[in-house]
Amino acid sequence: MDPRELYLENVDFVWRSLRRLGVPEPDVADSAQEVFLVAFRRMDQFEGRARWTTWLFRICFRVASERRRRAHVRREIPCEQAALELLLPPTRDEHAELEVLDALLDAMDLEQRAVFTLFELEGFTGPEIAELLDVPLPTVYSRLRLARADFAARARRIRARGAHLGLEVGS
Amino acid sequence: MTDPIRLLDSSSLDEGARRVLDAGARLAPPPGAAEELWHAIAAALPPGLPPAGGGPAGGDLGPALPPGAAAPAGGGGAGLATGAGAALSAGALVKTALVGFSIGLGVLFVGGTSARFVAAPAGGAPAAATRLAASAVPAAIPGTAPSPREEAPLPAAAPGREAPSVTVALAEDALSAEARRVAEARAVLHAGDGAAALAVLRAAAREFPAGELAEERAVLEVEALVALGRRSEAEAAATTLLGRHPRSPHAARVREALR
Repeated sequence: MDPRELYLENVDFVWRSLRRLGVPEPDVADSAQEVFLVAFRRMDQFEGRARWTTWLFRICFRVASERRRRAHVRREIPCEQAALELLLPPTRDEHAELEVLDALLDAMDLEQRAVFTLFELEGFTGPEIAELLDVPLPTVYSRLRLARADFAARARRIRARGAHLGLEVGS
Repeated sequence: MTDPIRLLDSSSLDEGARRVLDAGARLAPPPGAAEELWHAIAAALPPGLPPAGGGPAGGDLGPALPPGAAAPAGGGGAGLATGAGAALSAGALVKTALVGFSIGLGVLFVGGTSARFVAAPAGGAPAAATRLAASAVPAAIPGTAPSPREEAPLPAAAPGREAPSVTVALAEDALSAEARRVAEARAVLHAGDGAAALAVLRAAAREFPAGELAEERAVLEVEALVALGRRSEAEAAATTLLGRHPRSPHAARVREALR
């Protein structure tokens, strides 16, 4: 496969994978460029033992992981607080849901986040995720269960805090 | 070992949670971003690896670009903003994104038995994740398009670890009770009864020593102490609060109370 073809077939997948792994929108282009440059440079090492998407997702994971490690030390606003602050303005634009989703996912470790988003948003099956992340299937299910519980609990906390501030976040 | 039903395929998922997850499922590069990115990549490619496909470095991806990768296709709006907008009406409030979160998600996790999960209606509208996988994921992901799931239980909890369903159910009850206490304290404080508010808050502190709303209780305690004229105690409580939560969203409110 030539680089252009690889890019065309996978740019959407790489883009949304990076976003779902916590790369902020303004940084996605840079991270995606890094992913594809790594992929192009190593194409000769890809021997078809996995799908291209599997290989690209692993590069996405490493890029997101490295970025998260660098960002961690300078993160100024805890994610749950950020979500709470999203409740404060009287109106939000159409990015509101994605911002809330980011805030809810930010507290997960990257492995849980990868499983949660691949399963819930990308539509991968458990066995496919196990292959992609190179972990046993029970580990995938365990991470998914914990990620779901975390997602639900965090959403409830944010909602309760919003209600405390007098915001109409409940129905 | 079977996959559980996806949240977006579950009829138990409330509307607020569905919108938030749906926005994530519809993620795609903004219009034009994929082409712009290709130009940047082509320019940065090492000399021995020119972009293939017959075009010069930085060449136009043009017709070969699949719908959704760069230009908006038929008003489909592959962009992030457009994609998110498609999931909700324009100008939606973020607070509405969270409407109904706790109830729907609570149902999903409390119990954790198959009875809680209902398969998507046969012949009904496909879930967002399915639509996305079918329309936006290129053929490079063979075999990954999700199919409607049958009713399926969550996998059993790992040995030696408490099932999250039980934990979450208990936490939800405690959180609701704590939230009621906070609301009660807030109401009496706003009614001018600082002493009653303080009593409610102190009782809540004993009842929920590790409560999720400790920060909110602490804010109200500062305000109650100020209302009672117990300024030094209020300042001490504020110092403790801001020491524990230096970037608390309530910080400005606490400082204002002490002015």
